[in-house]
Amino acid sequence: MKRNRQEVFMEILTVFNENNVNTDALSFDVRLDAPDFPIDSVLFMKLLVDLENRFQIELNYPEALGAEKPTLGSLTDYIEGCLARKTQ
Amino acid sequence: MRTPTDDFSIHDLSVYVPPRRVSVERLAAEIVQHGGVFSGEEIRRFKTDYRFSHVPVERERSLPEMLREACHPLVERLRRQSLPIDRILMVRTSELSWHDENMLREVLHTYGLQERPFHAIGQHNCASVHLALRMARNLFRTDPYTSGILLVSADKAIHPFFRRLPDSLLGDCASACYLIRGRKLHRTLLIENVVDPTFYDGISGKAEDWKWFQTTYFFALRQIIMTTLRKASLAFDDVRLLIGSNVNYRTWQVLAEMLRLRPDKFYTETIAEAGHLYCSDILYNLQAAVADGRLRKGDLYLTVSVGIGSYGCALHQF
Repeated sequence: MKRNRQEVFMEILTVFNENNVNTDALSFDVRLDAPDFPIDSVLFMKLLVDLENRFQIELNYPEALGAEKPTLGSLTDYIEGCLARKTQ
Repeated sequence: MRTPTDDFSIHDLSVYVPPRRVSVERLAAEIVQHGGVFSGEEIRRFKTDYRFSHVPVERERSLPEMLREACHPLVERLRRQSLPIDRILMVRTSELSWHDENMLREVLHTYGLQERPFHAIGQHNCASVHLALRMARNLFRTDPYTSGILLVSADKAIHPFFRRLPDSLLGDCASACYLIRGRKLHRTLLIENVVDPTFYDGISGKAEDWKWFQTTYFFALRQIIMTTLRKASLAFDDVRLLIGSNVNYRTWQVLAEMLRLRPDKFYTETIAEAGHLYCSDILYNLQAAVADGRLRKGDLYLTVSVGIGSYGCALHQF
Protein backbone atom coordinates (compact mmCIF):
# COMPACT_ATOMS: atom_id res chain seq x y z
CA MET A 1 0.00 0.00 0.00
CA LYS A 2 1.39 3.39 -1.01
CA ARG A 3 1.75 5.88 1.85
CA ASN A 4 2.28 9.58 1.56
CA ARG A 5 4.88 11.58 3.43
CA GLN A 6 2.62 12.54 6.32
CA GLU A 7 1.44 8.95 6.79
CA VAL A 8 5.01 7.68 6.84
CA PHE A 9 5.96 10.36 9.33
CA MET A 10 3.06 9.47 11.64
CA GLU A 11 4.04 5.82 11.50
CA ILE A 12 7.62 6.74 12.40
CA LEU A 13 6.31 8.64 15.40
CA THR A 14 4.24 5.61 16.40
CA VAL A 15 7.38 3.47 16.42
CA PHE A 16 9.17 6.13 18.47
CA ASN A 17 6.27 6.26 20.92
CA GLU A 18 6.36 2.48 21.30
CA ASN A 19 9.98 2.91 22.38
CA ASN A 20 9.05 5.56 24.97
CA VAL A 21 10.47 8.44 22.96
CA ASN A 22 8.59 11.66 23.61
CA THR A 23 7.37 12.77 20.19
CA ASP A 24 5.49 15.92 21.27
CA ALA A 25 8.06 18.31 19.85
CA LEU A 26 9.11 16.23 16.84
CA SER A 27 8.60 17.63 13.36
CA PHE A 28 10.07 17.11 9.91
CA ASP A 29 12.75 19.69 10.67
CA VAL A 30 14.12 18.08 13.82
CA ARG A 31 17.72 17.09 13.25
CA LEU A 32 18.61 13.54 14.15
CA ASP A 33 22.13 14.57 15.09
CA ALA A 34 21.58 16.22 18.47
CA PRO A 35 20.96 18.55 20.22
CA ASP A 36 17.35 18.59 18.92
CA PHE A 37 17.06 14.83 19.24
CA PRO A 38 19.25 13.58 22.07
CA ILE A 39 19.17 9.80 21.98
CA ASP A 40 21.66 7.10 22.89
CA SER A 41 23.17 4.76 20.33
CA VAL A 42 21.50 1.59 21.57
CA LEU A 43 18.01 3.10 21.49
CA PHE A 44 18.83 4.69 18.14
CA MET A 45 19.67 1.27 16.70
CA LYS A 46 16.49 -0.21 18.17
CA LEU A 47 14.36 2.56 16.67
CA LEU A 48 15.82 1.99 13.22
CA VAL A 49 15.51 -1.79 13.45
CA ASP A 50 11.88 -1.35 14.52
CA LEU A 51 11.34 0.96 11.55
CA GLU A 52 12.77 -1.71 9.26
CA ASN A 53 10.37 -4.25 10.71
CA ARG A 54 7.39 -1.89 10.64
CA PHE A 55 7.87 -0.90 7.01
CA GLN A 56 9.37 -4.23 5.87
CA ILE A 57 12.34 -2.49 4.31
CA GLU A 58 16.08 -2.46 4.79
CA LEU A 59 17.58 0.88 5.75
CA ASN A 60 20.81 1.54 3.93
CA TYR A 61 22.91 3.35 6.52
CA PRO A 62 24.68 5.99 4.39
CA GLU A 63 21.58 6.64 2.26
CA ALA A 64 19.18 6.88 5.18
CA LEU A 65 21.41 8.84 7.56
CA GLY A 66 24.41 10.05 5.60
CA ALA A 67 22.99 13.47 4.76
CA GLU A 68 25.08 16.27 6.16
CA LYS A 69 22.25 17.35 8.42
CA PRO A 70 19.90 14.37 8.65
CA THR A 71 16.43 15.27 9.87
CA LEU A 72 13.27 13.36 10.60
CA GLY A 73 12.07 14.78 7.30
CA SER A 74 15.00 13.32 5.33
CA LEU A 75 14.50 9.96 7.05
CA THR A 76 10.79 10.12 6.20
CA ASP A 77 11.60 10.89 2.56
CA TYR A 78 14.05 8.01 2.42
CA ILE A 79 11.49 5.56 3.82
CA GLU A 80 8.78 6.91 1.54
CA GLY A 81 11.14 6.31 -1.40
CA CYS A 82 11.81 2.74 -0.26
CA LEU A 83 8.08 2.07 0.02
CA ALA A 84 7.44 3.57 -3.41
CA ARG A 85 10.09 1.32 -4.95
CA LYS A 86 8.51 -1.68 -3.23
CA THR A 87 5.11 -1.00 -4.76
CA GLN A 88 6.45 -0.45 -8.30
CA MET B 1 26.35 -20.09 -0.54
CA ARG B 2 27.13 -17.60 -3.25
CA THR B 3 30.78 -16.56 -3.42
CA PRO B 4 30.89 -13.30 -5.35
CA THR B 5 34.65 -13.00 -5.00
CA ASP B 6 37.24 -15.58 -4.18
CA ASP B 7 40.18 -13.90 -5.74
CA PHE B 8 42.68 -14.19 -2.93
CA SER B 9 43.58 -16.05 0.21
CA ILE B 10 45.38 -15.32 3.46
CA HIS B 11 48.48 -17.46 3.18
CA ASP B 12 50.40 -16.52 6.32
CA LEU B 13 50.58 -13.81 8.96
CA SER B 14 52.76 -12.52 11.75
CA VAL B 15 51.99 -10.12 14.58
CA TYR B 16 54.37 -8.28 16.87
CA VAL B 17 52.92 -7.18 20.22
CA PRO B 18 55.31 -5.53 22.69
CA PRO B 19 55.76 -7.71 25.78
CA ARG B 20 55.34 -4.79 28.18
CA ARG B 21 51.75 -4.32 29.37
CA VAL B 22 50.43 -1.24 31.15
CA SER B 23 47.30 -1.38 33.28
CA VAL B 24 44.27 0.85 32.78
CA GLU B 25 44.97 2.52 36.14
CA ARG B 26 48.59 3.24 35.22
CA LEU B 27 47.60 4.58 31.84
CA ALA B 28 44.94 6.79 33.41
CA ALA B 29 47.56 8.11 35.85
CA GLU B 30 49.94 8.91 32.97
CA ILE B 31 47.21 10.78 31.12
CA VAL B 32 46.30 12.76 34.23
CA GLN B 33 49.99 13.45 34.93
CA HIS B 34 50.24 15.05 31.48
CA GLY B 35 47.26 17.29 32.15
CA GLY B 36 44.53 15.11 30.70
CA VAL B 37 41.37 13.71 32.27
CA PHE B 38 40.71 10.09 33.19
CA SER B 39 38.41 9.90 36.20
CA GLY B 40 37.85 7.06 38.62
CA GLU B 41 34.41 6.51 37.13
CA GLU B 42 35.95 6.26 33.68
CA ILE B 43 38.49 3.73 34.93
CA ARG B 44 35.60 1.67 36.28
CA ARG B 45 33.74 1.91 32.97
CA PHE B 46 36.79 0.96 30.92
CA LYS B 47 37.49 -2.03 33.15
CA THR B 48 33.97 -3.28 33.88
CA ASP B 49 31.85 -2.35 30.88
CA TYR B 50 34.55 -2.34 28.20
CA ARG B 51 36.65 -5.14 29.80
CA PHE B 52 40.03 -3.51 29.29
CA SER B 53 42.70 -4.55 31.74
CA HIS B 54 46.10 -3.86 30.12
CA VAL B 55 47.43 -2.55 26.82
CA PRO B 56 50.81 -3.32 25.24
CA VAL B 57 53.18 -0.37 25.24
CA GLU B 58 56.43 -0.23 23.29
CA ARG B 59 59.07 1.73 25.16
CA GLU B 60 62.19 0.55 23.33
CA ARG B 61 61.54 -0.15 19.69
CA SER B 62 60.73 2.49 17.12
CA LEU B 63 57.85 2.00 14.71
CA PRO B 64 60.20 0.75 11.93
CA GLU B 65 61.74 -1.69 14.40
CA MET B 66 58.31 -2.94 15.40
CA LEU B 67 57.52 -3.47 11.73
CA ARG B 68 60.74 -5.40 11.30
CA GLU B 69 59.73 -7.67 14.20
CA ALA B 70 56.41 -8.38 12.50
CA CYS B 71 57.74 -8.74 8.96
CA HIS B 72 60.93 -10.69 9.53
CA PRO B 73 59.49 -14.12 10.45
CA LEU B 74 56.83 -13.91 7.76
CA VAL B 75 59.13 -12.81 4.94
CA GLU B 76 61.66 -15.49 5.91
CA ARG B 77 58.95 -18.14 5.62
CA LEU B 78 57.88 -16.77 2.25
CA ARG B 79 61.47 -16.89 1.00
CA ARG B 80 61.81 -20.52 2.00
CA GLN B 81 58.66 -21.27 0.00
CA SER B 82 59.87 -19.15 -2.95
CA LEU B 83 56.70 -17.06 -2.80
CA PRO B 84 56.95 -13.65 -4.41
CA ILE B 85 56.08 -10.28 -2.88
CA ASP B 86 54.82 -8.34 -5.88
CA ARG B 87 53.25 -5.43 -4.05
CA ILE B 88 53.21 -3.97 -0.57
CA LEU B 89 50.18 -2.42 1.12
CA MET B 90 50.97 -0.33 4.16
CA VAL B 91 48.05 0.42 6.50
CA ARG B 92 48.23 3.16 9.09
CA THR B 93 45.60 4.15 11.58
CA SER B 94 47.20 7.06 13.36
CA GLU B 95 47.72 10.33 11.61
CA LEU B 96 50.43 11.38 14.04
CA SER B 97 53.96 10.06 14.17
CA TRP B 98 57.47 11.44 14.36
CA HIS B 99 59.16 8.71 12.32
CA ASP B 100 56.96 8.46 9.28
CA GLU B 101 59.63 8.98 6.62
CA ASN B 102 59.86 5.41 5.46
CA MET B 103 58.92 2.94 8.11
CA LEU B 104 59.59 -0.04 5.90
CA ARG B 105 63.02 1.12 4.69
CA GLU B 106 64.95 -1.54 6.58
CA VAL B 107 62.60 -4.36 5.65
CA LEU B 108 62.63 -3.31 1.99
CA HIS B 109 66.44 -3.18 1.87
CA THR B 110 66.95 -6.38 3.83
CA TYR B 111 64.79 -8.36 1.46
CA GLY B 112 65.54 -6.52 -1.79
CA LEU B 113 62.01 -5.17 -2.12
CA GLN B 114 62.90 -1.55 -2.84
CA GLU B 115 61.44 -1.62 -6.35
CA ARG B 116 58.14 -3.19 -5.44
CA PRO B 117 55.02 -1.04 -5.92
CA PHE B 118 54.08 0.37 -2.55
CA HIS B 119 50.58 1.56 -1.63
CA ALA B 120 49.83 3.48 1.55
CA ILE B 121 46.33 3.30 3.01
CA GLY B 122 44.97 5.40 5.84
CA GLN B 123 42.29 8.00 6.59
CA HIS B 124 39.74 5.32 7.39
CA ASN B 125 41.06 4.95 10.90
CA CYS B 126 40.69 1.45 12.30
CA ALA B 127 38.59 0.34 9.33
CA SER B 128 41.53 0.97 6.97
CA VAL B 129 42.39 -2.74 7.19
CA HIS B 130 39.21 -3.69 5.35
CA LEU B 131 39.83 -0.99 2.79
CA ALA B 132 43.27 -2.59 2.28
CA LEU B 133 41.62 -5.97 1.72
CA ARG B 134 39.38 -4.38 -0.90
CA MET B 135 42.37 -2.76 -2.54
CA ALA B 136 44.23 -6.10 -2.57
CA ARG B 137 41.25 -7.77 -4.20
CA ASN B 138 41.11 -5.08 -6.86
CA LEU B 139 44.86 -5.35 -7.49
CA PHE B 140 44.61 -9.11 -7.92
CA ARG B 141 41.69 -8.62 -10.29
CA THR B 142 43.27 -5.95 -12.43
CA ASP B 143 46.95 -6.91 -12.47
CA PRO B 144 47.57 -10.47 -13.64
CA TYR B 145 51.24 -10.16 -12.70
CA THR B 146 50.46 -9.69 -9.01
CA SER B 147 50.43 -13.06 -7.34
CA GLY B 148 51.43 -12.13 -3.80
CA ILE B 149 50.83 -9.01 -1.69
CA LEU B 150 52.43 -8.16 1.63
CA LEU B 151 49.97 -6.25 3.80
CA VAL B 152 51.61 -4.55 6.77
CA SER B 153 50.27 -2.39 9.56
CA ALA B 154 51.88 -0.67 12.51
CA ASP B 155 50.88 1.98 15.00
CA LYS B 156 52.39 3.34 18.15
CA ALA B 157 51.01 6.08 20.38
CA ILE B 158 53.52 8.90 20.61
CA HIS B 159 51.97 10.32 23.78
CA PRO B 160 49.72 8.87 26.51
CA PHE B 161 46.91 11.16 25.28
CA PHE B 162 46.76 9.22 22.04
CA ARG B 163 46.14 5.91 23.79
CA ARG B 164 42.66 6.91 24.75
CA LEU B 165 39.62 7.26 22.54
CA PRO B 166 36.29 8.18 24.14
CA ASP B 167 35.36 4.50 24.46
CA SER B 168 38.53 2.58 23.72
CA LEU B 169 42.16 2.12 24.73
CA LEU B 170 44.88 1.70 22.15
CA GLY B 171 47.88 -0.59 22.41
CA ASP B 172 51.02 -0.56 20.24
CA CYS B 173 51.30 -3.29 17.63
CA ALA B 174 52.68 -4.22 14.21
CA SER B 175 51.44 -6.93 11.90
CA ALA B 176 52.17 -8.43 8.51
CA CYS B 177 50.07 -10.66 6.34
CA TYR B 178 50.72 -12.36 3.01
CA LEU B 179 47.84 -12.46 0.57
CA ILE B 180 48.08 -14.83 -2.34
CA ARG B 181 46.14 -14.91 -5.59
CA GLY B 182 43.50 -17.55 -6.06
CA ARG B 183 41.44 -20.03 -4.13
CA LYS B 184 43.67 -21.53 -1.48
CA LEU B 185 42.96 -22.88 1.99
CA HIS B 186 42.15 -19.64 3.80
CA ARG B 187 40.00 -17.66 1.44
CA THR B 188 38.59 -14.17 1.57
CA LEU B 189 35.22 -14.43 -0.12
CA LEU B 190 33.55 -11.06 0.18
CA ILE B 191 34.50 -7.58 1.34
CA GLU B 192 32.07 -4.83 2.25
CA ASN B 193 33.00 -1.23 3.04
CA VAL B 194 30.74 1.60 4.10
CA VAL B 195 31.96 5.15 4.42
CA ASP B 196 30.03 8.05 5.86
CA PRO B 197 31.79 11.11 4.43
CA THR B 198 30.30 13.41 7.04
CA PHE B 199 33.11 12.20 9.34
CA TYR B 200 35.87 13.30 6.98
CA ASP B 201 37.77 14.96 9.83
CA GLY B 202 38.30 11.67 11.66
CA ILE B 203 39.65 12.03 15.15
CA SER B 204 39.96 15.79 14.68
CA GLY B 205 36.25 16.14 14.03
CA LYS B 206 33.95 18.48 15.90
CA ALA B 207 32.27 17.34 19.14
CA GLU B 208 28.89 17.17 17.40
CA ASP B 209 30.36 14.92 14.69
CA TRP B 210 31.70 12.58 17.36
CA LYS B 211 28.31 12.51 19.03
CA TRP B 212 26.61 11.61 15.77
CA PHE B 213 29.21 8.93 15.06
CA GLN B 214 28.56 7.45 18.49
CA THR B 215 24.78 7.60 17.94
CA THR B 216 24.88 5.86 14.57
CA TYR B 217 27.73 3.48 15.42
CA PHE B 218 25.76 0.38 16.47
CA PHE B 219 23.25 0.69 13.66
CA ALA B 220 25.98 1.11 11.03
CA LEU B 221 27.83 -1.94 12.34
CA ARG B 222 24.66 -4.00 12.35
CA GLN B 223 23.86 -2.99 8.79
CA ILE B 224 27.28 -3.82 7.36
CA ILE B 225 27.27 -7.25 9.00
CA MET B 226 23.74 -7.98 7.74
CA THR B 227 24.59 -6.72 4.25
CA THR B 228 27.68 -8.92 4.03
CA LEU B 229 25.71 -12.00 5.02
CA ARG B 230 22.85 -11.15 2.68
CA LYS B 231 25.22 -10.69 -0.26
CA ALA B 232 26.70 -14.12 0.46
CA SER B 233 23.23 -15.66 0.94
CA LEU B 234 24.23 -16.77 4.42
CA ALA B 235 22.61 -16.72 7.86
CA PHE B 236 24.38 -16.22 11.18
CA ASP B 237 24.19 -19.95 11.83
CA ASP B 238 26.37 -20.55 8.79
CA VAL B 239 29.15 -18.47 10.29
CA ARG B 240 31.27 -19.86 13.12
CA LEU B 241 32.61 -16.62 14.52
CA LEU B 242 32.63 -12.86 14.17
CA ILE B 243 36.08 -11.43 14.73
CA GLY B 244 35.83 -7.75 15.41
CA SER B 245 38.41 -5.18 16.25
CA ASN B 246 38.97 -4.70 19.98
CA VAL B 247 37.18 -1.39 20.17
CA ASN B 248 35.59 -2.50 23.46
CA TYR B 249 33.59 -5.43 24.83
CA ARG B 250 30.31 -3.55 25.12
CA THR B 251 30.14 -2.94 21.37
CA TRP B 252 30.02 -6.63 20.56
CA GLN B 253 27.82 -7.45 23.56
CA VAL B 254 25.19 -4.92 22.44
CA LEU B 255 25.36 -6.08 18.85
CA ALA B 256 25.02 -9.71 19.90
CA GLU B 257 21.87 -8.78 21.84
CA MET B 258 20.39 -6.83 18.96
CA LEU B 259 21.20 -9.57 16.46
CA ARG B 260 19.88 -12.23 18.89
CA LEU B 261 23.23 -14.00 18.94
CA ARG B 262 25.08 -15.61 21.82
CA PRO B 263 27.74 -13.21 23.15
CA ASP B 264 30.46 -15.75 22.37
CA LYS B 265 29.59 -15.56 18.68
CA PHE B 266 31.87 -12.52 18.80
CA TYR B 267 35.52 -13.14 19.59
CA THR B 268 36.35 -10.84 22.47
CA GLU B 269 38.92 -12.90 24.36
CA THR B 270 41.90 -10.63 23.71
CA ILE B 271 40.33 -7.31 24.66
CA ALA B 272 41.40 -7.46 28.30
CA GLU B 273 45.10 -8.07 27.75
CA ALA B 274 45.73 -6.53 24.34
CA GLY B 275 43.40 -3.55 24.13
CA HIS B 276 42.56 -2.07 20.77
CA LEU B 277 45.52 -2.67 18.44
CA TYR B 278 44.52 -0.18 15.74
CA CYS B 279 44.38 -2.01 12.38
CA SER B 280 46.27 -5.06 13.70
CA ASP B 281 43.37 -6.25 15.87
CA ILE B 282 41.87 -8.41 13.20
CA LEU B 283 45.07 -10.35 12.46
CA TYR B 284 45.93 -10.64 16.15
CA ASN B 285 42.47 -11.95 16.96
CA LEU B 286 42.49 -14.30 13.99
CA GLN B 287 45.74 -15.81 15.23
CA ALA B 288 44.34 -16.08 18.78
CA ALA B 289 41.03 -17.61 17.65
CA VAL B 290 42.87 -20.32 15.73
CA ALA B 291 45.15 -20.99 18.70
CA ASP B 292 42.10 -21.20 21.00
CA GLY B 293 40.42 -23.71 18.70
CA ARG B 294 37.55 -21.29 18.06
CA LEU B 295 38.16 -21.53 14.31
CA ARG B 296 38.58 -24.84 12.57
CA LYS B 297 39.34 -25.84 9.03
CA GLY B 298 36.47 -25.04 6.71
CA ASP B 299 34.76 -22.61 9.09
CA LEU B 300 33.23 -19.47 7.67
CA TYR B 301 33.83 -16.36 9.72
CA LEU B 302 33.39 -12.62 9.49
CA THR B 303 35.88 -9.91 10.33
CA VAL B 304 34.49 -6.52 11.30
CA SER B 305 36.22 -3.21 11.81
CA VAL B 306 35.07 0.27 12.60
CA GLY B 307 36.82 3.59 12.12
CA ILE B 308 35.35 7.03 12.59
CA GLY B 309 32.68 7.03 9.91
CA SER B 310 34.21 4.07 8.11
CA TYR B 311 33.13 0.46 8.52
CA GLY B 312 34.50 -2.77 7.09
CA CYS B 313 33.32 -6.35 7.05
CA ALA B 314 34.67 -9.38 5.22
CA LEU B 315 33.63 -13.00 4.88
CA HIS B 316 36.42 -15.56 5.02
CA GLN B 317 36.69 -19.33 5.02
CA PHE B 318 39.43 -20.79 7.16
